Amino acid sequence: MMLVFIAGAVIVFFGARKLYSMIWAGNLGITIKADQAYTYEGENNALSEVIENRKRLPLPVLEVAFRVGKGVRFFSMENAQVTDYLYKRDIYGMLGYQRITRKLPFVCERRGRYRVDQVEFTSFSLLHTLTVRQPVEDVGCSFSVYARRTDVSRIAATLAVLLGEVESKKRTLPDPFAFAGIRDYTIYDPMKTINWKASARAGSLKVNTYASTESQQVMIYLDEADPNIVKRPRLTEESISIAATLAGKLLKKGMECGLCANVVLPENENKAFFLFPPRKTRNQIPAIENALAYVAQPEDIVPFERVLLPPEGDKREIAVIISMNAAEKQKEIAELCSLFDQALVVIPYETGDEAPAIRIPGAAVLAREVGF
Amino acid sequence: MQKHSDSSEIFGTSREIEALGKLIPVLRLLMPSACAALVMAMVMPAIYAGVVNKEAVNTHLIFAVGLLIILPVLVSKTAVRRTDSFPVFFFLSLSAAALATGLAWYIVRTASAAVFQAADPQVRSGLSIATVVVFVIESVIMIYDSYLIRRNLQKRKLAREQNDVSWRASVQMFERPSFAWLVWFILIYLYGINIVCPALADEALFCAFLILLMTAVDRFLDKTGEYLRLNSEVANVPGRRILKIGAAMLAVVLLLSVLMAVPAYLTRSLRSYRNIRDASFGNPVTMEEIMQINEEMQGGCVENPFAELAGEEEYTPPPEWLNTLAKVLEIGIFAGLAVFIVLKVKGELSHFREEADDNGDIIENLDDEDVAESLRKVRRFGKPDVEGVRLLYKKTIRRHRKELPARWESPAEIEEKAGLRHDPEMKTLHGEYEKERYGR
Repeated sequence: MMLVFIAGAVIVFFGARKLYSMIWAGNLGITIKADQAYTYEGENNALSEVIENRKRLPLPVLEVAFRVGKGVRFFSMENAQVTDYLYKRDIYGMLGYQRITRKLPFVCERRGRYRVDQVEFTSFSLLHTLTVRQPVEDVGCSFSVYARRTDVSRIAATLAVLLGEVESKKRTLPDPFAFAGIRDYTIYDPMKTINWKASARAGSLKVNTYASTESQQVMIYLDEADPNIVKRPRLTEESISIAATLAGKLLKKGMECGLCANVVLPENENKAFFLFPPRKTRNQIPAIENALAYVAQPEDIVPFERVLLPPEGDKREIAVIISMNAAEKQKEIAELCSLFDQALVVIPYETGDEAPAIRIPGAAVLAREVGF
Repeated sequence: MQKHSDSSEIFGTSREIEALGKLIPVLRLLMPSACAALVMAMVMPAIYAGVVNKEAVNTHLIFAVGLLIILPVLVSKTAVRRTDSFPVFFFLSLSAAALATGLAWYIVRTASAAVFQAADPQVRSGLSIATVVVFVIESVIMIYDSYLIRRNLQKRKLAREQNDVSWRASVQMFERPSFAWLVWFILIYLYGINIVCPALADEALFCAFLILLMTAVDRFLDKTGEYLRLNSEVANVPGRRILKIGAAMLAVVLLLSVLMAVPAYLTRSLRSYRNIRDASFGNPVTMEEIMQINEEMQGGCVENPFAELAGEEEYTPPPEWLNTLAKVLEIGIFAGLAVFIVLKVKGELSHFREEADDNGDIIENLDDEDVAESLRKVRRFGKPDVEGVRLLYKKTIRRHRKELPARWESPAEIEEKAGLRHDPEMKTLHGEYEKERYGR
């Protein structure tokens, strides 16, 4: 009879263990979503981890592990290990038919496009004599960290001067539908331009003035190459930030803005560098931001000379060239600048280095110090 | 005096200690002590039942006396954790051992007629002295074991101070309940079977059952505690949930194990005994023969142990109705206990289900009814009408979506936003609704 009891107990314990190993992963699901599809570098975002156990069996211990790029830093880094990637592991205890949602807030420390993958469930039998694992297929969670916003007021001011010169050249072709203001009548004005209502109100003859509706066009050339042995990631990042911030500002002002960088996008099968022709469409900003979110690997960089090409069409107003290697590529840059009405060359350099003092014919040169 | 805390050793963090309250340290002290006491308490009945040939020995009473060893065990194990001073530990353990031995000797001397029912006075006197000897040996073993545990704890403390991760504690005999002790009880059981002592076999079975339960609980606490301790640096570990859910599951598994013990208990009368001490060695002894032997001995293993104490001249078997009542009570108590455990676990889990989690997780209960089941319920009272299916549809959507659907949303959009667009159950419900609404 003792044997009946012992055998029964053994069957119960091992049976429970076997049963658990067979059914624990059934109807167990996970969804991981980023609260915001994109954020700027330095901002906070959060991952929502939703785990559903749609069966009666409780799971006393359930570990959820996943992998994400190491450019993010979770608020609770105790659960994470950073090697080539950031490996996160969270522990749950679930009853049957239960859904648990956990927020994992993090700081976006580095620009990039991030994807949550290698998701895996791990559980243990009641007496921890058995460890069971179940990988989860793609959870389809990705988010972008756009380049950090930076101060471009000096660049914008210089650009405004250049833009003013372009603007003044355009005045010869006013648009009759773009009302700009009212001024006094002169004998050279045609009679049809007199604003009679305004003249009656003012007591003297007034005429309407019209602005040009032809939008201005700016093409930004970004050099991400860093040929030095000692790499200068701060300068690379700053160049990207300047390009992204400037493009955003110009597009918001209603200008046509394009961007060309000597970087090959990972999804580009033709290995062509990325080029956004000057446009004023609504999705131009996100397209540029998204493209700049890619972390440039050294093997993705093409020589800057290859990308120094004017945009298609006759309209070539302003070129903004951002390059930390401008001193070495003066000739090529000068050739490009000669094809535009106006040009601005921005040269980032690190604090402590000598400010680059170069002259490029047909272009304004602006050295930008990048601090620590 | 520096105090050692059992629970802090187990879990390392205060959150989990709070979760289980003061129960864990008590359990961690009581369970190894009880295990040790059960193992030791079987020694005396086994010796006496084997040595005193043809003499009736009240096995149950001897076993009860043997359980007195728990006194030095408890004291020495408490002293191990409560004091750093060896003399204090030794003095306390020795005092408790002396007290337990004295008590055992006193009980055996006083109730010797009841304990050794058919033995002559000389044998009784000899057995009383043997009791003292056994107790002294057992006490020495226990104190030495506690001393080794104490040394282990000191070494562990030193290793922690020196951050020596390579140090591993050597496991002492009575430090923890262990499944290995089941072998000891199986041997005692077989021994009891082969010397025709049903009481000894019963006690071995009962002890094995207790050891099994205690070891399972101890293993659970130990492994869960170790897991939580290893993850004590991990943020947002729901220690309370892990412990409670695990404990509830363990309770269910143990209940099933208890159910396995029921057939073993109820089929005691079907045991086949063999007497290895006489000429019938190897021949099975039936239960009738055992009863006959007992009657001949006027008070055997199954007789009233207090008959002589009560001054009764002859043993009279209890009336049949009393046996029946005892059986009914046994079954009733067992069933009541089982129902109590089930209700307690269920109540605890349902209460726990409603509790907010302590680490900020959002916990939602999913209705365990699937759509097919709900439709079956609707159909139970006849053909499902449009309103019935509509209500079910609304309920299903609400369960998966927090905000109310906008007026302009189509059913496809509603299902999409509820995350049920491709759910087969939702498709069934959608089809059912269309069928009821449009008759197609």
